[in-house]
Amino acid sequence: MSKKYFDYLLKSQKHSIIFLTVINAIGLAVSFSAFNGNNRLEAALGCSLIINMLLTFISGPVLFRMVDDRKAVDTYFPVCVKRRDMLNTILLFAIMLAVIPFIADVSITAFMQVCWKHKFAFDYLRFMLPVTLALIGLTVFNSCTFLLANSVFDGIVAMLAYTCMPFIFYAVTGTFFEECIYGYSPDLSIFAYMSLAYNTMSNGFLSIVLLNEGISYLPWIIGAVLYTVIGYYGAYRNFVNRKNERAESISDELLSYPALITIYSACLILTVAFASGLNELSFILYFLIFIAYTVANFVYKRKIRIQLKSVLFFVGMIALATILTHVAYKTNGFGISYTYDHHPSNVSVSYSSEVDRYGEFKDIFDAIKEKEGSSSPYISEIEYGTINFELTIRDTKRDGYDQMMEVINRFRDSSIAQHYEGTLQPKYDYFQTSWMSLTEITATRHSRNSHYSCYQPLSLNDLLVIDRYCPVYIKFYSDMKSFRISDYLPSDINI
Amino acid sequence: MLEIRNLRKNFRSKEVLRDLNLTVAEGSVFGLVGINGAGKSTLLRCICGVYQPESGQVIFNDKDTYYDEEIRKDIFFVSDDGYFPHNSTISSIKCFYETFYDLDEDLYRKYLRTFNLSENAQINTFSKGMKRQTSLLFALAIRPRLLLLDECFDGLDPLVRLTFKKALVDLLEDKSITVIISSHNLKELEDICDSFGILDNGQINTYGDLLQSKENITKYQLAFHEDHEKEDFSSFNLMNFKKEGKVYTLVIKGDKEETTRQLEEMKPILLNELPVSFEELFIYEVESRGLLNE
Repeated sequence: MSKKYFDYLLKSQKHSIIFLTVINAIGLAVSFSAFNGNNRLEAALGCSLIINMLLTFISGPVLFRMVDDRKAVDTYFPVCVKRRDMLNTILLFAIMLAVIPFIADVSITAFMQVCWKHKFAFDYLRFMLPVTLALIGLTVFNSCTFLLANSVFDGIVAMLAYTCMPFIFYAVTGTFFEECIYGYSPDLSIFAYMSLAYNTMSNGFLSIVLLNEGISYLPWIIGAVLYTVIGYYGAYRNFVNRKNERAESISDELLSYPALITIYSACLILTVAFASGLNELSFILYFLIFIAYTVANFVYKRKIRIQLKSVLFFVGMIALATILTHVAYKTNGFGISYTYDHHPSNVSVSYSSEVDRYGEFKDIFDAIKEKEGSSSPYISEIEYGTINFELTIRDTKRDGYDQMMEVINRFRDSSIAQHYEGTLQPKYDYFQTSWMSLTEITATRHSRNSHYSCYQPLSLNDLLVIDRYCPVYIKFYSDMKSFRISDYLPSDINI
Repeated sequence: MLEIRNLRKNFRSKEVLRDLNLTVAEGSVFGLVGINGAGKSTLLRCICGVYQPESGQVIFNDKDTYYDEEIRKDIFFVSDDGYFPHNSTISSIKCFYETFYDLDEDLYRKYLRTFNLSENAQINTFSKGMKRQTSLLFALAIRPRLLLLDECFDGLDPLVRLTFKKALVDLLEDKSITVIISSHNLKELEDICDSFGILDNGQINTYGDLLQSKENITKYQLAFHEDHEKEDFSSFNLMNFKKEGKVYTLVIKGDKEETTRQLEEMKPILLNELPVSFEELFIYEVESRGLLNE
């Protein structure tokens, strides 16, 4: 820490400090006056959370921007302050810019709670700790990613790209499981934990609304601490050990554009390959990604030059992703898709299906016609509807559930077969109308989530079997009334 | 005293300074000259601790200027293009300098008046020369032990140049202040520098006392009855040779008296000794090394 540098920052940033104080004060005042009751306290906290989280993306770049300006480097770096002290001072100041207004806002809100409700707001104060840690983590990490680059623009690009990276990882992993290991939907919440910005917004708002009830702060706090540690290490490397001649040159540090362009291109290619394999649309998408890759390289190197190694990287990634997709399809998801537990100890099923009297699967409409008579005016009224059921079974091995599990497993098999044995582009079958989601506890006590969709819905016979265990509802869009299927179509009906 | 030992600085694969050695005595005004791109600004940035040397050291008053931040309090660098943040004024810039340097308020006020600068005017609105004056104002008000000036005469009108030179002379009354000035304006340097160094090919091979160096080079105007070629003067350390009809202009390095005696032995009908300016000294040195394009 350098007291001199801190004094300088205080003096030089006084206008920013005044501006931030005014913005926070306006946020509180508007929240307190525009809402009623408890809402005004929640609105004030929400407003403060948004403002100060945005600040974590602004304070670092504003205070560190001198490293990206050749002239500024000549002014700031000959001063008698150790670089490590300069880094620590700037980080502390940046953290204070984001954290102090937040703590002040929460304290004022808690005080208003005492005044208005004569009740001390322990919950508000308790939520201050994880948010404060998250704001520190975000400030340090954003400063670190900003410092990876050699110009302000590149720094902002790097900062935003690293912020969005967990989402692109989520997209590519989610698409892989959805398409290549069909039916198997693992818990991808790790990617949510990887994004401190997302966690801070979602957990922050949940905490404000639920007042800490049922919210686990631990992963959030661990994430904030990890962001702080990794961010500080990166900032140290890129500030204390920084070569000042980097200012205004192209941002060719390994973790800057070279890594970002490669990671984003690879993820986009993989996502397209997993989602659509090799067809006309995928070629268009690959071409668009290549255009984006070329533009990104132009932004990086300030010149358009298509290098052979870029083309080879691209072709190689497409080939790799396509081979992986084909292997997945040929092996039914590397042998995983069909290996579900046919009699899980515990299962929750949610089913929904669109029905259409003009479609291929209209057995329900035929049964209604049988019941009502073909001349009934009701028959001409009903054209489209939806069928759904939700059931949870604690022990599928109990007598009587075999028949129901057979129906469900048949639907799963049919859906898996349709996915792998059809073309490589089942997603573009717009007539696919049935969805089934399962959460099951397997015999080995593992939890497994699965999602299936199928062009062919459960037949009326299957639905009547299910209806023995849980109500299956049908609703026609013409009158929007919902009926239990067994009430409307008695089991003795000739179908 | 400033001592540079085996200094090496690269920009990626380009070697800008290579094993550069230089000693500048305390209290001297050192003129750093070199062709464009020779590395003068890079050397100044290495001296003030902006650039980290690849190897070697810059020692000022027994302290390494890159690794020992305390010594940097005594060093002030005026770059060729000063940094003035958007909306900054001289008083806001002062806030920065007075935090890190011992700024003399009286001198600050004095030079503010001398340069006729308005303390609260936005620097954005200043001309290039006024911006340069602003940088020099702080250099003079801080009175550093080592003052590094990069192209400091660039953009200054003749009157301000004179004012600044006078101010520099006042500053140099303090014999412990060392100044290094890099400039292409060698006439200006000649007025104030007592020593010089020519930076070429990443090294300073020609350096020393300016007067002595100028005395060591003599320009002669000669005329002979008979015709002579360049080879006839091969016994001299010839830096430049020109022949126009019967009149020869020679620039010869070496002892003046001995050279004149030898030339007189060739029985010239005309022999004139002409003074050599710093600019000519630089040109002849650079030409003799073949650094300038034909």
